[in-house]
Amino acid sequence: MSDEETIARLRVILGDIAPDLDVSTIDANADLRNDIGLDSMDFLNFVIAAHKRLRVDVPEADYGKVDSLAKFARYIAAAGAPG
Amino acid sequence: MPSLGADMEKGKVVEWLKKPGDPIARGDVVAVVETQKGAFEIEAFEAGILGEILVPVGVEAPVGAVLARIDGPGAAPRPAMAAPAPPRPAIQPVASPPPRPAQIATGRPRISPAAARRAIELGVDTRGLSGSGPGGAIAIADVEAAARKPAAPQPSAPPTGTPGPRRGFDPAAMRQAIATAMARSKREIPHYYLSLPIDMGIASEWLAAENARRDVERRLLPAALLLKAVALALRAVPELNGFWVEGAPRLSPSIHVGWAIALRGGGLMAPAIHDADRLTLDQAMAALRDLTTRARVARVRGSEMMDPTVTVTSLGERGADSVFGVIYPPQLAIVGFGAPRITALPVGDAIRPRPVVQATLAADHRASDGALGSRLLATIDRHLQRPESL
Repeated sequence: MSDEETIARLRVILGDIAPDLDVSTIDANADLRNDIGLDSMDFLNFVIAAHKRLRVDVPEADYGKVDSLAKFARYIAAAGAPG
Repeated sequence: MPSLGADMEKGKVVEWLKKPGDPIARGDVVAVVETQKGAFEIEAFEAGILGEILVPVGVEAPVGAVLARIDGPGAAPRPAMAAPAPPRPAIQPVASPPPRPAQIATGRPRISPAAARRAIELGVDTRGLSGSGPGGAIAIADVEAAARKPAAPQPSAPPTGTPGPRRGFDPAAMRQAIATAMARSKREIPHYYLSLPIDMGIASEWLAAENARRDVERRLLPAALLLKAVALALRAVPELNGFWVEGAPRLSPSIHVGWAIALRGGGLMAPAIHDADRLTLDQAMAALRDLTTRARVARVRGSEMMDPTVTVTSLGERGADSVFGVIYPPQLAIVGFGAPRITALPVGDAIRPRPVVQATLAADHRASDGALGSRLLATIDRHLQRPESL
């Protein structure tokens, strides 16, 4: 799966945990917490949902490596997670 | 029509989730009511069979009006779902405007609240699901069926179309409700303010170690520690837990913490986490997650808006240093937590960089004095130095 496809799937997941966001227009490089306004609970819910649907495990110490959609997609690719 | 806050006068029924003849258990969500502050789920206070619906969808009713009757098994029909709070006579539906046809404009698929929660639990994308519920609404069974299907093909293009507005959420009306409550607070309540810097070093290290060995779904946030520490401290200082009613404090034996949640569209709400002092840390975390998730989709229950006995506002990891809150009337106090900052602190004989959170208290000076307030903050501090015992 390409990073672009992963980003598209992450957008869908983000839309479900934060239905008040317009996920289709979010810049893939925007910081999810500082720019998009996810609070720590939203961010945790996002990591949990990604774990369930994309089978990627992100330890708390790695949160800084997945703080934008693009970085999250690269993290998943590097982890070799099955699509 | 229950009162969902001191400033609420009326509400509009926007959805009935049960129909006459349906069995009802105590605590079942039976209807959704829209108020200035958004849409709230209304739970049944009695078990039985749903009888006549007296306030149909689309109709407004004043606080205290009977929305429907629940017939006890074999008993005479009795009014149900009247206001538990203000004991106004709730005999007949109060004169309501002529019923208008129900109009719920929404860009999102109709989905029952229970199904929406299940979808989040199961990680099911509800867009594009067809519903088998009343009026084509998506029901729990539809969500579960979708979850059982082999991984549905995911769209490879970003989803198009903007999400619909959150139903029942009108930012201008919420602004007005906040304005009314906060103006009343500053007009009537003589606030006093205290602050105490709390060293979160021990709590942070404990949390990091704990989370490193937990599955992602069981990880804890600092918010759970703060919630639990406040609730336990209020047990020790009960004078700050309750309400100011008719010129005197009325303390509450239960500790229902109103947790302030900022909404991204503007505004905020502070629904209750019931009996927070009796929750384990895991339960406190689950309650916070559940409440935040539901606040984002305007699915907070009416009972949660009715009865917080104190409020906590936490600015989270990226907020300002400290917050001196405005008390939500008729409560007696609001506890605030700023964002953690690395600060030079004396530890023994040395100066060390430590994560410090400013804990603050705004309390009603009619009901308590600074010495008591100081004790509350000191007790919160003490609990946070022993996170393993929270």
